Amino acid sequence: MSFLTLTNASFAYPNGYKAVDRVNMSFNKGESVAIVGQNGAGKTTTVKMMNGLLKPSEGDVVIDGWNTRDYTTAQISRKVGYVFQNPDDQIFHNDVYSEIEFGPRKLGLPEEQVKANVMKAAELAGVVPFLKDNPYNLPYSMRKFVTIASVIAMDSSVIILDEPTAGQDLPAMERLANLIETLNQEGKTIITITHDMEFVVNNFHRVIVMANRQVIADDDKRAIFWNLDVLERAMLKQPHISRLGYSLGIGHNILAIPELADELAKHK
Amino acid sequence: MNNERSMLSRLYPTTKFMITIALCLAAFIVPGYGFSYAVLPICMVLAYFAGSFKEFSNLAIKALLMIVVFIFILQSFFYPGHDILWSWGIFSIKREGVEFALFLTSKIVAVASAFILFFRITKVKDLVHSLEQIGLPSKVTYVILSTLQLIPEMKKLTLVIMDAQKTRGVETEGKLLVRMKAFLPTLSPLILGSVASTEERVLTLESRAFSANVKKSSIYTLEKTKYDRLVQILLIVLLAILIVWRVAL
Repeated sequence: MSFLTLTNASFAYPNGYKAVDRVNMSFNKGESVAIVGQNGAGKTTTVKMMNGLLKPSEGDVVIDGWNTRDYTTAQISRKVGYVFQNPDDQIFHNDVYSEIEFGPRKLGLPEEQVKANVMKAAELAGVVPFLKDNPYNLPYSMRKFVTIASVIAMDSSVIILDEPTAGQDLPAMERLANLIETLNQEGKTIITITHDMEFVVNNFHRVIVMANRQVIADDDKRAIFWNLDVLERAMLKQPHISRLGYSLGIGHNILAIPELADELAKHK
Repeated sequence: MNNERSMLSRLYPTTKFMITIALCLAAFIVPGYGFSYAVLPICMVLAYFAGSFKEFSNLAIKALLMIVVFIFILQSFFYPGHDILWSWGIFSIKREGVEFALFLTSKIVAVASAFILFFRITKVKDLVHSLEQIGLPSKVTYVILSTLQLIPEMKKLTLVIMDAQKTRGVETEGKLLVRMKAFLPTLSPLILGSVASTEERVLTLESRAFSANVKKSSIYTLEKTKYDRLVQILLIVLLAILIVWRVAL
């Protein structure tokens, strides 16, 4: 039984613009899934339906037996956490600690639990040295980690990251990778929107491709990144190493450097 | 799109402003309340020609109805007077109150609808540009511009902050009390956010030589056409006729 399911979910904005058209997807506990696609493909609208910020205009979104129509976003926030694309949309406290603490406190957790959650989240996101700082004094990339920590601290079963890789340097990418892996091992579902195909190759197994308001593919990363037809329809490119393999005309499923090295050794 | 083509919206901002002022003055020159109330439908017709009939009517009626109803209730019950029209217990409606309410609301309706029309058919950008052309310093026009943009921006920001708070477990839907509770914590990030963005805006403005002491040129131009002349003359003539008629009366 999957934990989070979208069934024929569509969403139209009040002005009539249909942003998502009959989308089906489902997620199990402990999965890590990347959603990729061009800007405007409907990725953000889709994930906003997953935590009830937007209610589907048609179809259903069911989380752990809850239909999002019957619950408010505040109630759903216990089950699904959402990290906004723009950290400035989310931060509203004067110091990092109270920003992270706000969510778990709102959930009514006991004092020690709140503290433990905050420290764990801050450590995972690497924001411990800044706990007393004003989030607005931190650089953009650090602010993003503050918002990630503040969602992790709520200990929800599903965590949605909306473009966490934008503007991040290598150590930050490694921190993200480590964070996703740790949370996965705890049985949490991580759904990530990203434009960074290398990041997808390194950290995810399942990939959902969206284009033109619909899901056009939902498969293992290897199958997706070697399905050139799907990639073209979604206006995406293969990861660099796969492109190199493709141009050299070797292998049909290379994703990473070791695989390419093996394949090249064979051709020596 | 329609906006671009219609003649009315292509008028120069100051001409549009003259229409507004003329409508307001006329409302005060013509005695009685009939004409003042009629300013609203006149503005609706003008808005129709400018292609924003629906927006204007919605906004004007929504904004004015509440005010008018409240003034009517308050004035007709509490304005001091002797000529009682209707009474219930200690409350009574007096003729003087109703008359005063008619007078007051008709002027409010006239002035408000004229101004709403002005802001509906004039882009803020055009208005500011024309003010700069008149010779106002750019600091003053910037204050006008940012003030006019402040409200819609703040509204947008409030919605975003509320969304963020929802995802963090704050209940914002439901009973009035719940919603009020949710509203209060949005205030501090809203104000702080505005202050923070002010700093960034200052830097952006400076990086574009805002305070440089030279005459600036603009890529954006607005042209006065012969219609502007025509409308302006027409307005002045009409106002003059009204005044003469009023004095002669």
